[in-house]
Amino acid sequence: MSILQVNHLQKKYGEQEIIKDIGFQIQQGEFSALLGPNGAGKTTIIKMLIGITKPSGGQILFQGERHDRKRPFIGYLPQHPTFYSWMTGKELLTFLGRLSDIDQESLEQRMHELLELVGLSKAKNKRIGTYSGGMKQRLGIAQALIHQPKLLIMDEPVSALDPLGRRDMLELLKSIKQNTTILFSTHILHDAEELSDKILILNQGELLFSGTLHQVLESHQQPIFIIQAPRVHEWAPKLVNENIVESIDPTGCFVKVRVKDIASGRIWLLDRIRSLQLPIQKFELVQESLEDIFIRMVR
Amino acid sequence: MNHLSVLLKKEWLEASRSYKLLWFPVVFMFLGIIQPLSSYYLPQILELAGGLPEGVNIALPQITAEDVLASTVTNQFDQLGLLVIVIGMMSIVVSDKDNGMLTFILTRNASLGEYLLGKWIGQAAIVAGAVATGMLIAGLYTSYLYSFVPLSRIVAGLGVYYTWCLFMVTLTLLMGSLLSRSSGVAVVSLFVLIFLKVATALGSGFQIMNPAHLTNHAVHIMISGSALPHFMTTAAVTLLLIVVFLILSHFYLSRKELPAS
Ligand SMILES: Nc1ncnc2c1ncn2[C@@H]1O[C@H](COP(=O)(O)OP(=O)(O)OP(=O)(O)O)[C@@H](O)[C@H]1O
Ligand SMILES: [Mg+2]
Repeated sequence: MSILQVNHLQKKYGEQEIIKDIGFQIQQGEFSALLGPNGAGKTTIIKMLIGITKPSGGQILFQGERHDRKRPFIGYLPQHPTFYSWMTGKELLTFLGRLSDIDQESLEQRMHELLELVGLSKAKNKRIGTYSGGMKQRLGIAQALIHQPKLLIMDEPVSALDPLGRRDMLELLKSIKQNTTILFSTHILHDAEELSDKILILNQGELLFSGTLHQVLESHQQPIFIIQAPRVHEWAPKLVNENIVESIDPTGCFVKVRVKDIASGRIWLLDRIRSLQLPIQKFELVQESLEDIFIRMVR
Repeated sequence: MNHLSVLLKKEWLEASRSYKLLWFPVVFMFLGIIQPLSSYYLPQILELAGGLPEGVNIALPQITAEDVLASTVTNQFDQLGLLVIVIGMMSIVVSDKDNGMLTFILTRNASLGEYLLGKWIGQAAIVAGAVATGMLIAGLYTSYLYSFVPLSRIVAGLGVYYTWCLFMVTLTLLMGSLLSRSSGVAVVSLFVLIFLKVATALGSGFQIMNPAHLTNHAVHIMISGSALPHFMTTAAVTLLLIVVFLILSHFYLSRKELPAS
Protein backbone atom coordinates (compact mmCIF):
# COMPACT_ATOMS: atom_id res chain seq x y z
CA MET A 1 0.00 0.00 0.00
CA SER A 2 1.32 3.45 -0.74
CA ILE A 3 1.63 5.59 2.35
CA LEU A 4 2.44 8.77 0.54
CA GLN A 5 1.55 9.77 -2.94
CA VAL A 6 2.62 13.04 -4.51
CA ASN A 7 1.10 14.20 -7.79
CA HIS A 8 2.19 17.14 -9.92
CA LEU A 9 3.59 18.98 -6.92
CA GLN A 10 4.69 22.53 -7.69
CA LYS A 11 6.09 25.42 -5.75
CA LYS A 12 6.70 28.94 -6.94
CA TYR A 13 8.25 31.79 -5.04
CA GLY A 14 7.16 34.80 -7.04
CA GLU A 15 8.14 34.11 -10.62
CA GLN A 16 10.71 31.52 -9.66
CA GLU A 17 9.67 27.92 -10.05
CA ILE A 18 11.45 26.07 -7.26
CA ILE A 19 9.65 22.74 -7.66
CA LYS A 20 8.51 21.78 -11.13
CA ASP A 21 5.72 19.24 -11.39
CA ILE A 22 7.00 16.39 -9.28
CA GLY A 23 5.32 13.05 -8.67
CA PHE A 24 6.37 10.03 -6.63
CA GLN A 25 5.10 7.39 -4.24
CA ILE A 26 6.32 5.88 -1.03
CA GLN A 27 5.23 2.38 -0.07
CA GLN A 28 4.78 1.08 3.43
CA GLY A 29 8.06 -0.05 4.92
CA GLU A 30 10.26 1.60 2.31
CA PHE A 31 13.37 3.58 3.11
CA SER A 32 13.61 6.31 0.48
CA ALA A 33 16.31 8.87 -0.07
CA LEU A 34 15.65 12.25 -1.63
CA LEU A 35 18.95 12.97 -3.27
CA GLY A 36 19.99 16.30 -4.68
CA PRO A 37 22.72 18.93 -4.64
CA ASN A 38 22.45 22.10 -2.53
CA GLY A 39 19.53 24.21 -3.61
CA ALA A 40 17.82 21.38 -5.50
CA GLY A 41 14.62 21.89 -3.52
CA LYS A 42 14.78 19.06 -0.98
CA THR A 43 13.84 21.18 2.01
CA THR A 44 11.08 22.86 0.02
CA ILE A 45 9.51 19.50 -0.84
CA ILE A 46 9.76 18.32 2.74
CA LYS A 47 8.16 21.49 4.06
CA MET A 48 5.24 20.93 1.74
CA LEU A 49 4.93 17.30 2.83
CA ILE A 50 4.74 18.18 6.50
CA GLY A 51 2.31 20.98 5.76
CA ILE A 52 4.18 24.10 6.80
CA THR A 53 4.49 25.40 3.25
CA LYS A 54 1.57 25.52 0.85
CA PRO A 55 2.18 23.98 -2.56
CA SER A 56 1.46 26.18 -5.58
CA GLY A 57 -0.09 23.18 -7.32
CA GLY A 58 -0.57 19.44 -7.21
CA GLN A 59 -1.65 17.18 -4.41
CA ILE A 60 -0.21 15.23 -1.53
CA LEU A 61 -2.08 12.12 -0.42
CA PHE A 62 -1.53 10.11 2.72
CA GLN A 63 -2.89 6.60 2.42
CA GLY A 64 -4.88 7.74 -0.56
CA GLU A 65 -6.53 10.71 1.12
CA ARG A 66 -5.97 14.41 1.42
CA HIS A 67 -5.40 15.70 4.92
CA ASP A 68 -5.27 19.23 6.09
CA ARG A 69 -3.78 18.04 9.32
CA LYS A 70 -1.04 15.64 8.41
CA ARG A 71 0.61 15.81 11.76
CA PRO A 72 -0.45 12.51 13.27
CA PHE A 73 0.94 10.69 10.24
CA ILE A 74 4.34 12.24 10.15
CA GLY A 75 7.37 12.47 12.35
CA TYR A 76 9.64 15.28 11.28
CA LEU A 77 13.28 16.08 11.88
CA PRO A 78 14.38 19.43 10.42
CA GLN A 79 17.70 20.15 8.80
CA HIS A 80 19.12 22.12 11.72
CA PRO A 81 17.10 21.22 14.79
CA THR A 82 17.47 23.65 17.67
CA PHE A 83 15.38 22.82 20.67
CA TYR A 84 14.92 24.88 23.80
CA SER A 85 18.38 24.69 25.27
CA TRP A 86 17.01 25.22 28.78
CA MET A 87 14.96 22.03 28.64
CA THR A 88 16.28 18.60 29.40
CA GLY A 89 15.98 15.87 26.79
CA LYS A 90 13.24 14.23 28.76
CA GLU A 91 11.31 17.45 29.22
CA LEU A 92 11.41 18.11 25.49
CA LEU A 93 10.05 14.66 24.69
CA THR A 94 7.33 15.09 27.29
CA PHE A 95 6.41 18.52 25.98
CA LEU A 96 6.21 17.49 22.33
CA GLY A 97 4.63 14.14 23.17
CA ARG A 98 1.86 15.81 25.16
CA LEU A 99 1.24 18.18 22.27
CA SER A 100 0.74 15.08 20.15
CA ASP A 101 -1.99 13.91 22.52
CA ILE A 102 -0.17 10.94 23.98
CA ASP A 103 -1.41 10.21 27.46
CA GLN A 104 1.06 10.40 30.30
CA GLU A 105 1.28 6.69 30.89
CA SER A 106 2.08 5.52 27.39
CA LEU A 107 4.34 8.53 27.01
CA GLU A 108 6.55 7.40 29.89
CA GLN A 109 6.81 3.96 28.36
CA ARG A 110 7.49 5.27 24.86
CA MET A 111 10.06 7.75 26.11
CA HIS A 112 11.92 5.08 27.94
CA GLU A 113 12.11 2.90 24.82
CA LEU A 114 13.14 5.75 22.55
CA LEU A 115 15.82 7.16 24.84
CA GLU A 116 17.21 3.65 25.01
CA LEU A 117 17.06 3.31 21.23
CA VAL A 118 18.84 6.57 20.48
CA GLY A 119 21.31 6.09 23.31
CA LEU A 120 20.36 9.08 25.41
CA SER A 121 19.16 7.30 28.54
CA LYS A 122 22.08 8.63 30.55
CA ALA A 123 21.75 12.18 29.30
CA LYS A 124 17.98 12.47 29.53
CA ASN A 125 18.05 14.74 32.57
CA LYS A 126 20.76 17.03 31.24
CA ARG A 127 19.97 20.37 29.62
CA ILE A 128 19.82 20.21 25.82
CA GLY A 129 22.19 23.18 25.75
CA THR A 130 24.94 20.84 26.92
CA TYR A 131 24.31 18.21 24.21
CA SER A 132 26.73 17.68 21.32
CA GLY A 133 25.55 18.02 17.74
CA GLY A 134 25.18 14.27 17.41
CA MET A 135 23.18 14.02 20.62
CA LYS A 136 20.83 16.77 19.46
CA GLN A 137 20.31 14.95 16.20
CA ARG A 138 19.51 11.73 18.08
CA LEU A 139 17.13 13.58 20.34
CA GLY A 140 15.60 14.95 17.14
CA ILE A 141 14.96 11.40 15.97
CA ALA A 142 13.44 10.46 19.30
CA GLN A 143 11.03 13.42 19.21
CA ALA A 144 10.10 12.60 15.62
CA LEU A 145 9.21 9.02 16.59
CA ILE A 146 7.46 9.71 19.86
CA HIS A 147 3.92 9.59 18.49
CA GLN A 148 4.60 6.47 16.42
CA PRO A 149 4.14 8.16 13.05
CA LYS A 150 3.39 6.18 9.92
CA LEU A 151 6.10 8.07 8.06
CA LEU A 152 9.34 9.52 9.38
CA ILE A 153 10.65 12.46 7.35
CA MET A 154 14.17 13.70 7.97
CA ASP A 155 15.89 16.62 6.30
CA GLU A 156 19.61 15.88 5.99
CA PRO A 157 19.87 13.95 9.24
CA VAL A 158 23.54 13.11 8.88
CA SER A 159 25.05 15.87 6.74
CA ALA A 160 26.15 18.05 9.63
CA LEU A 161 27.77 15.32 11.71
CA ASP A 162 31.40 14.31 11.97
CA PRO A 163 32.38 10.83 10.69
CA LEU A 164 31.82 9.16 14.05
CA GLY A 165 28.50 10.87 14.63
CA ARG A 166 27.50 9.92 11.11
CA ARG A 167 28.38 6.31 11.68
CA ASP A 168 26.27 6.25 14.86
CA MET A 169 23.39 7.88 13.11
CA LEU A 170 23.48 5.48 10.18
CA GLU A 171 23.46 2.55 12.58
CA LEU A 172 20.53 4.08 14.41
CA LEU A 173 18.62 4.62 11.18
CA LYS A 174 19.26 1.02 10.20
CA SER A 175 17.76 -0.18 13.44
CA ILE A 176 14.69 2.05 13.03
CA LYS A 177 14.29 0.98 9.44
CA GLN A 178 12.83 -2.38 10.41
CA ASN A 179 9.53 -1.00 11.58
CA THR A 180 9.22 2.49 10.15
CA THR A 181 8.66 3.97 6.72
CA ILE A 182 11.30 6.61 6.18
CA LEU A 183 11.97 9.42 3.75
CA PHE A 184 15.18 11.32 4.19
CA SER A 185 16.98 13.91 2.15
CA THR A 186 20.71 14.06 1.63
CA HIS A 187 23.32 15.33 -0.75
CA ILE A 188 25.69 12.59 0.32
CA LEU A 189 25.41 9.68 -2.05
CA HIS A 190 27.13 7.24 0.14
CA ASP A 191 24.42 7.58 2.80
CA ALA A 192 21.68 7.03 0.28
CA GLU A 193 23.50 4.03 -1.11
CA GLU A 194 24.04 2.48 2.28
CA LEU A 195 20.55 2.86 3.65
CA SER A 196 17.86 3.23 1.09
CA ASP A 197 15.69 0.87 -0.87
CA LYS A 198 14.61 3.63 -3.15
CA ILE A 199 16.16 6.84 -4.35
CA LEU A 200 14.64 9.99 -5.79
CA ILE A 201 17.15 12.14 -7.63
CA LEU A 202 16.28 15.79 -7.62
CA ASN A 203 17.99 18.62 -9.44
CA GLN A 204 16.84 22.22 -9.80
CA GLY A 205 13.33 21.30 -8.78
CA GLU A 206 13.00 18.43 -11.24
CA LEU A 207 12.82 14.77 -10.42
CA LEU A 208 15.39 13.13 -12.65
CA PHE A 209 14.90 9.61 -11.44
CA SER A 210 12.95 7.59 -8.97
CA GLY A 211 13.34 3.92 -8.35
CA THR A 212 15.38 1.36 -6.52
CA LEU A 213 19.11 1.51 -6.33
CA HIS A 214 19.20 -1.53 -8.54
CA GLN A 215 17.04 0.18 -11.14
CA VAL A 216 19.13 3.32 -11.26
CA LEU A 217 22.26 1.30 -11.77
CA GLU A 218 20.63 -0.90 -14.36
CA SER A 219 19.18 1.90 -16.42
CA HIS A 220 21.87 4.53 -16.06
CA GLN A 221 25.11 2.82 -15.27
CA GLN A 222 27.75 3.05 -17.96
CA PRO A 223 31.20 1.57 -18.11
CA ILE A 224 34.15 3.91 -17.75
CA PHE A 225 37.90 3.56 -18.11
CA ILE A 226 40.12 4.52 -15.25
CA ILE A 227 43.68 5.44 -16.14
CA GLN A 228 46.21 6.14 -13.45
CA ALA A 229 49.61 7.71 -14.09
CA PRO A 230 51.65 10.49 -12.53
CA ARG A 231 51.00 14.13 -13.44
CA VAL A 232 47.41 13.68 -14.51
CA HIS A 233 46.88 17.26 -15.58
CA GLU A 234 49.70 17.21 -18.09
CA TRP A 235 48.37 14.35 -20.15
CA ALA A 236 44.64 14.30 -19.48
CA PRO A 237 43.86 17.06 -22.02
CA LYS A 238 45.67 15.05 -24.66
CA LEU A 239 42.98 12.37 -24.54
CA VAL A 240 40.41 14.62 -26.18
CA ASN A 241 38.91 13.12 -29.30
CA GLU A 242 35.43 14.12 -30.32
CA ASN A 243 34.73 10.96 -32.27
CA ILE A 244 35.63 8.51 -29.57
CA VAL A 245 35.72 10.10 -26.12
CA GLU A 246 32.57 11.42 -24.52
CA SER A 247 33.99 12.96 -21.37
CA ILE A 248 37.21 13.17 -19.41
CA ASP A 249 37.11 13.63 -15.70
CA PRO A 250 40.48 14.04 -13.97
CA THR A 251 40.18 13.44 -10.25
CA GLY A 252 43.19 13.23 -7.98
CA CYS A 253 45.74 10.84 -9.37
CA PHE A 254 43.61 9.25 -12.06
CA VAL A 255 41.33 10.07 -14.94
CA LYS A 256 37.85 8.75 -15.61
CA VAL A 257 37.18 8.44 -19.30
CA ARG A 258 33.79 7.72 -20.77
CA VAL A 259 33.87 6.50 -24.37
CA LYS A 260 31.19 6.11 -27.00
CA ASP A 261 32.01 2.55 -27.85
CA ILE A 262 33.88 0.24 -25.51
CA ALA A 263 35.74 -1.86 -28.07
CA SER A 264 37.06 0.91 -30.29
CA GLY A 265 37.52 3.17 -27.29
CA ARG A 266 39.80 0.67 -25.60
CA ILE A 267 42.00 0.30 -28.67
CA TRP A 268 42.23 4.06 -29.15
CA LEU A 269 43.05 4.73 -25.49
CA LEU A 270 45.78 2.06 -25.43
CA ASP A 271 47.26 3.49 -28.64
CA ARG A 272 47.23 6.92 -27.11
CA ILE A 273 48.92 5.71 -23.94
CA ARG A 274 51.67 4.13 -26.01
CA SER A 275 52.23 7.14 -28.24
CA LEU A 276 52.30 9.52 -25.25
CA GLN A 277 54.57 7.02 -23.46
CA LEU A 278 52.53 7.33 -20.30
CA PRO A 279 54.03 5.41 -17.35
CA ILE A 280 50.62 4.04 -16.40
CA GLN A 281 50.05 2.38 -13.06
CA LYS A 282 46.51 1.31 -13.76
CA PHE A 283 44.25 0.85 -16.74
CA GLU A 284 40.87 -0.64 -16.02
CA LEU A 285 37.30 -0.81 -17.20
CA VAL A 286 34.76 -0.42 -14.41
CA GLN A 287 31.08 0.26 -13.95
CA GLU A 288 30.20 3.77 -12.83
CA SER A 289 29.47 4.27 -9.17
CA LEU A 290 26.23 5.89 -8.05
CA GLU A 291 28.21 9.05 -7.49
CA ASP A 292 29.40 9.10 -11.09
CA ILE A 293 25.83 8.66 -12.31
CA PHE A 294 24.57 11.34 -9.95
CA ILE A 295 27.17 13.85 -11.01
CA ARG A 296 26.51 13.09 -14.66
CA MET A 297 22.78 13.57 -14.14
CA VAL A 298 22.90 16.84 -12.25
CA ARG A 299 25.49 18.50 -14.46
CA MET B 1 -7.83 22.84 25.89
CA ASN B 2 -5.40 20.19 26.96
CA HIS B 3 -2.65 21.56 24.72
CA LEU B 4 -3.03 24.95 26.33
CA SER B 5 -2.18 23.57 29.74
CA VAL B 6 0.90 21.83 28.28
CA LEU B 7 1.98 25.08 26.66
CA LEU B 8 1.36 27.05 29.85
CA LYS B 9 3.37 24.60 31.85
CA LYS B 10 6.20 25.11 29.41
CA GLU B 11 5.96 28.90 29.70
CA TRP B 12 6.14 28.56 33.45
CA LEU B 13 9.17 26.31 33.29
CA GLU B 14 10.87 28.64 30.85
CA ALA B 15 10.15 31.68 33.00
CA SER B 16 11.57 30.00 36.06
CA ARG B 17 14.64 28.64 34.25
CA SER B 18 15.41 32.05 32.80
CA TYR B 19 14.82 33.63 36.23
CA LYS B 20 12.15 35.87 34.76
CA LEU B 21 9.90 34.66 37.53
CA LEU B 22 12.38 36.14 39.94
CA TRP B 23 13.66 39.34 38.39
CA PHE B 24 10.34 40.65 37.13
CA PRO B 25 8.76 40.88 40.61
CA VAL B 26 12.06 42.06 42.07
CA VAL B 27 12.25 45.00 39.66
CA PHE B 28 8.66 46.01 40.39
CA MET B 29 9.21 45.58 44.12
CA PHE B 30 12.14 47.93 43.85
CA LEU B 31 10.04 50.39 41.89
CA GLY B 32 7.31 50.08 44.49
CA ILE B 33 9.66 50.86 47.35
CA ILE B 34 11.55 53.70 45.78
CA GLN B 35 8.70 56.22 45.51
CA PRO B 36 7.46 56.14 49.14
CA LEU B 37 11.01 56.07 50.46
CA SER B 38 12.35 58.88 48.34
CA SER B 39 9.32 61.12 48.96
CA TYR B 40 9.50 60.51 52.66
CA TYR B 41 13.19 61.10 53.03
CA LEU B 42 13.44 63.93 50.51
CA PRO B 43 13.83 66.65 53.18
CA GLN B 44 16.59 64.69 54.91
CA ILE B 45 18.25 63.96 51.61
CA LEU B 46 18.28 67.62 50.71
CA GLU B 47 19.76 68.48 54.08
CA LEU B 48 22.45 65.86 53.74
CA ALA B 49 23.35 67.28 50.37
CA GLY B 50 24.22 70.55 52.06
CA GLY B 51 20.77 71.98 52.45
CA LEU B 52 19.24 74.64 50.29
CA PRO B 53 21.33 77.70 49.45
CA GLU B 54 20.71 80.88 51.45
CA GLY B 55 17.67 82.73 50.36
CA VAL B 56 16.14 79.90 48.42
CA ASN B 57 13.09 78.72 50.12
CA ILE B 58 10.97 76.08 48.56
CA ALA B 59 8.09 74.86 50.48
CA LEU B 60 7.94 71.12 50.00
CA PRO B 61 4.33 70.36 49.27
CA GLN B 62 2.44 68.39 51.81
CA ILE B 63 2.39 64.88 50.37
CA THR B 64 -0.42 62.51 51.11
CA ALA B 65 -0.30 58.72 51.03
CA GLU B 66 -2.53 58.73 48.00
CA ASP B 67 -0.15 61.03 46.13
CA VAL B 68 2.71 58.68 46.80
CA LEU B 69 0.84 55.70 45.41
CA ALA B 70 -0.21 57.74 42.39
CA SER B 71 3.38 58.73 41.64
CA THR B 72 4.50 55.15 42.04
CA VAL B 73 2.24 54.26 39.16
CA THR B 74 2.95 57.24 36.92
CA ASN B 75 6.61 57.85 37.66
CA GLN B 76 7.93 54.36 38.31
CA PHE B 77 5.72 51.71 36.78
CA ASP B 78 4.86 53.68 33.68
CA GLN B 79 8.47 54.52 32.94
CA LEU B 80 11.05 51.97 34.01
CA GLY B 81 8.31 49.38 34.50
CA LEU B 82 7.04 49.82 30.97
CA LEU B 83 10.56 49.48 29.63
CA VAL B 84 11.08 46.29 31.61
CA ILE B 85 7.84 44.76 30.37
CA VAL B 86 8.70 45.42 26.73
CA ILE B 87 12.33 44.31 27.04
CA GLY B 88 11.31 41.21 28.96
CA MET B 89 8.72 40.22 26.36
CA MET B 90 10.38 41.33 23.15
CA SER B 91 11.72 37.97 22.09
CA ILE B 92 8.93 35.66 23.18
CA VAL B 93 7.55 34.91 19.71
CA VAL B 94 10.58 35.98 17.70
CA SER B 95 12.88 33.38 19.23
CA ASP B 96 10.38 30.58 18.61
CA LYS B 97 10.07 31.65 15.00
CA ASP B 98 13.83 31.89 14.63
CA ASN B 99 14.91 28.61 16.11
CA GLY B 100 12.08 26.59 14.59
CA MET B 101 10.39 25.65 17.84
CA LEU B 102 7.20 27.22 16.54
CA THR B 103 7.32 24.85 13.59
CA PHE B 104 7.88 21.96 15.97
CA ILE B 105 4.91 22.93 18.08
CA LEU B 106 2.68 23.44 15.07
CA THR B 107 3.69 20.17 13.41
CA ARG B 108 2.26 18.50 16.50
CA ASN B 109 -1.45 18.69 17.20
CA ALA B 110 -1.39 22.11 18.82
CA SER B 111 -2.97 24.95 16.89
CA LEU B 112 -1.57 28.40 16.33
CA GLY B 113 -4.37 29.83 18.46
CA GLU B 114 -3.41 27.63 21.38
CA TYR B 115 0.21 28.61 20.97
CA LEU B 116 -0.52 32.35 20.97
CA LEU B 117 -2.96 32.04 23.84
CA GLY B 118 -0.37 30.10 25.83
CA LYS B 119 2.20 32.84 25.26
CA TRP B 120 -0.25 35.57 26.05
CA ILE B 121 -1.64 34.08 29.23
CA GLY B 122 1.83 33.07 30.39
CA GLN B 123 3.34 36.51 29.94
CA ALA B 124 0.24 38.26 31.27
CA ALA B 125 0.44 36.16 34.41
CA ILE B 126 4.09 37.02 34.97
CA VAL B 127 3.38 40.72 34.55
CA ALA B 128 0.33 40.45 36.79
CA GLY B 129 2.41 38.87 39.53
CA ALA B 130 5.14 41.46 39.21
CA VAL B 131 2.88 44.53 39.09
CA ALA B 132 0.75 43.28 41.96
CA THR B 133 3.82 42.59 44.08
CA GLY B 134 5.21 46.03 43.34
CA MET B 135 1.92 47.73 44.09
CA LEU B 136 1.34 45.90 47.35
CA ILE B 137 4.85 46.68 48.52
CA ALA B 138 4.29 50.32 47.64
CA GLY B 139 1.02 50.23 49.59
CA LEU B 140 2.75 48.65 52.55
CA TYR B 141 5.54 51.22 52.70
CA THR B 142 3.14 54.08 52.16
CA SER B 143 0.89 52.91 54.94
CA TYR B 144 3.89 52.63 57.22
CA LEU B 145 5.54 55.94 56.34
CA TYR B 146 2.43 58.02 55.69
CA SER B 147 -1.05 56.88 56.39
CA PHE B 148 -3.22 53.93 55.65
CA VAL B 149 -4.77 53.73 52.18
CA PRO B 150 -7.76 51.41 51.99
CA LEU B 151 -6.75 48.13 50.41
CA SER B 152 -9.89 48.15 48.29
CA ARG B 153 -8.73 51.32 46.53
CA ILE B 154 -5.28 49.94 45.91
CA VAL B 155 -6.73 46.77 44.46
CA ALA B 156 -9.22 48.63 42.28
CA GLY B 157 -6.52 50.99 41.03
CA LEU B 158 -4.23 48.06 40.42
CA GLY B 159 -6.90 46.26 38.40
CA VAL B 160 -7.39 49.26 36.15
CA TYR B 161 -3.67 49.83 35.80
CA TYR B 162 -3.14 46.16 34.98
CA THR B 163 -5.48 46.45 31.98
CA TRP B 164 -3.02 48.97 30.55
CA CYS B 165 -0.17 46.52 31.28
CA LEU B 166 -2.12 43.85 29.44
CA PHE B 167 -2.26 46.21 26.51
CA MET B 168 1.56 46.54 26.62
CA VAL B 169 1.97 42.76 26.71
CA THR B 170 -0.43 42.22 23.83
CA LEU B 171 1.14 44.94 21.71
CA THR B 172 4.57 43.38 22.25
CA LEU B 173 3.17 39.96 21.35
CA LEU B 174 1.69 41.39 18.14
CA MET B 175 4.99 43.02 17.19
CA GLY B 176 6.74 39.72 17.91
CA SER B 177 4.41 38.02 15.45
CA LEU B 178 4.82 40.67 12.76
CA LEU B 179 8.53 41.38 12.98
CA SER B 180 11.49 39.08 12.83
CA ARG B 181 13.96 40.77 15.17
CA SER B 182 13.63 41.35 18.89
CA SER B 183 15.30 44.74 18.60
CA GLY B 184 12.67 45.83 16.10
CA VAL B 185 9.94 44.50 18.36
CA ALA B 186 11.29 46.53 21.28
CA VAL B 187 11.75 49.73 19.30
CA VAL B 188 8.31 49.70 17.67
CA SER B 189 6.48 48.65 20.86
CA LEU B 190 8.27 51.28 22.94
CA PHE B 191 7.62 53.92 20.33
CA VAL B 192 3.87 53.20 20.29
CA LEU B 193 3.59 52.94 24.07
CA ILE B 194 5.58 56.09 24.77
CA PHE B 195 3.63 57.93 22.10
CA LEU B 196 0.34 56.95 23.80
CA LYS B 197 1.79 57.86 27.17
CA VAL B 198 2.92 61.29 25.97
CA ALA B 199 -0.44 61.83 24.33
CA THR B 200 -2.12 61.58 27.74
CA ALA B 201 -0.40 64.83 28.69
CA LEU B 202 -2.08 66.63 25.79
CA GLY B 203 -5.49 66.19 27.31
CA SER B 204 -8.59 66.68 25.16
CA GLY B 205 -11.16 64.32 23.75
CA PHE B 206 -8.81 61.72 22.33
CA GLN B 207 -7.92 60.77 25.90
CA ILE B 208 -10.94 58.66 26.52
CA MET B 209 -9.89 56.43 23.61
CA ASN B 210 -6.28 56.19 24.75
CA PRO B 211 -5.27 53.00 26.61
CA ALA B 212 -2.47 54.91 28.34
CA HIS B 213 -5.16 57.07 29.93
CA LEU B 214 -6.03 54.07 32.11
CA THR B 215 -3.10 55.07 34.29
CA ASN B 216 -4.86 58.34 35.07
CA HIS B 217 -8.04 56.48 35.86
CA ALA B 218 -6.12 54.16 38.17
CA VAL B 219 -4.47 57.12 39.90
CA HIS B 220 -7.80 58.83 40.36
CA ILE B 221 -9.29 55.69 41.83
CA MET B 222 -6.48 55.45 44.35
CA ILE B 223 -6.70 59.12 45.30
CA SER B 224 -10.44 59.65 45.38
CA GLY B 225 -12.00 56.25 45.23
CA SER B 226 -13.60 56.76 41.84
CA ALA B 227 -12.39 56.83 38.24
CA LEU B 228 -12.37 59.81 35.89
CA PRO B 229 -15.37 60.32 33.62
CA HIS B 230 -15.70 58.02 30.62
CA PHE B 231 -13.72 55.28 32.33
CA MET B 232 -15.89 52.61 30.70
CA THR B 233 -15.08 53.91 27.24
CA THR B 234 -11.35 53.86 27.84
CA ALA B 235 -11.51 50.37 29.30
CA ALA B 236 -13.70 49.07 26.49
CA VAL B 237 -11.44 50.54 23.79
CA THR B 238 -8.39 49.00 25.45
CA LEU B 239 -9.96 45.56 25.77
CA LEU B 240 -11.16 45.76 22.19
CA LEU B 241 -7.66 46.64 20.99
CA ILE B 242 -6.24 43.73 22.97
CA VAL B 243 -8.63 41.32 21.24
CA VAL B 244 -7.88 42.88 17.85
CA PHE B 245 -4.13 42.55 18.43
CA LEU B 246 -4.50 38.87 19.30
CA ILE B 247 -6.58 38.22 16.20
CA LEU B 248 -4.10 40.14 14.04
CA SER B 249 -1.19 38.08 15.40
CA HIS B 250 -3.05 34.91 14.57
CA PHE B 251 -4.05 36.14 11.14
CA TYR B 252 -0.53 37.19 10.22
CA LEU B 253 1.29 34.11 11.56
CA SER B 254 -1.15 31.71 9.93
CA ARG B 255 -0.33 33.21 6.56
CA LYS B 256 3.38 33.45 6.99
CA GLU B 257 5.74 30.72 5.90
CA LEU B 258 7.69 29.45 8.84
CA PRO B 259 11.31 28.49 8.57
CA ALA B 260 11.76 24.74 8.78
CA SER B 261 14.71 24.89 11.08
N1 LIG C 1 11.11 31.28 1.13
C1 LIG C 1 11.77 31.25 -0.04
N2 LIG C 1 11.66 32.29 -0.90
C2 LIG C 1 12.32 32.27 -2.08
N3 LIG C 1 13.12 31.28 -2.49
C3 LIG C 1 13.26 30.23 -1.68
C4 LIG C 1 12.59 30.15 -0.42
N4 LIG C 1 12.93 28.98 0.18
C5 LIG C 1 13.75 28.37 -0.68
N5 LIG C 1 13.96 29.10 -1.79
C6 LIG C 1 14.80 28.72 -2.94
O1 LIG C 1 14.45 27.42 -3.31
C7 LIG C 1 15.58 26.71 -3.76
C8 LIG C 1 15.60 25.35 -3.11
O2 LIG C 1 15.84 25.51 -1.74
P1 LIG C 1 15.85 24.29 -0.73
O3 LIG C 1 16.13 24.84 0.62
O4 LIG C 1 14.62 23.50 -0.92
O5 LIG C 1 17.10 23.47 -1.23
P2 LIG C 1 17.75 22.16 -0.61
O6 LIG C 1 17.71 21.12 -1.67
O7 LIG C 1 17.13 21.83 0.67
O8 LIG C 1 19.25 22.62 -0.40
P3 LIG C 1 20.31 22.26 0.76
O9 LIG C 1 20.98 20.99 0.37
O10 LIG C 1 21.26 23.40 0.70
O11 LIG C 1 19.57 22.20 2.04
C9 LIG C 1 16.79 27.56 -3.46
O12 LIG C 1 17.25 28.11 -4.68
C10 LIG C 1 16.27 28.63 -2.55
O13 LIG C 1 16.93 29.85 -2.82
MG1 LIG D 1 17.76 21.79 2.63
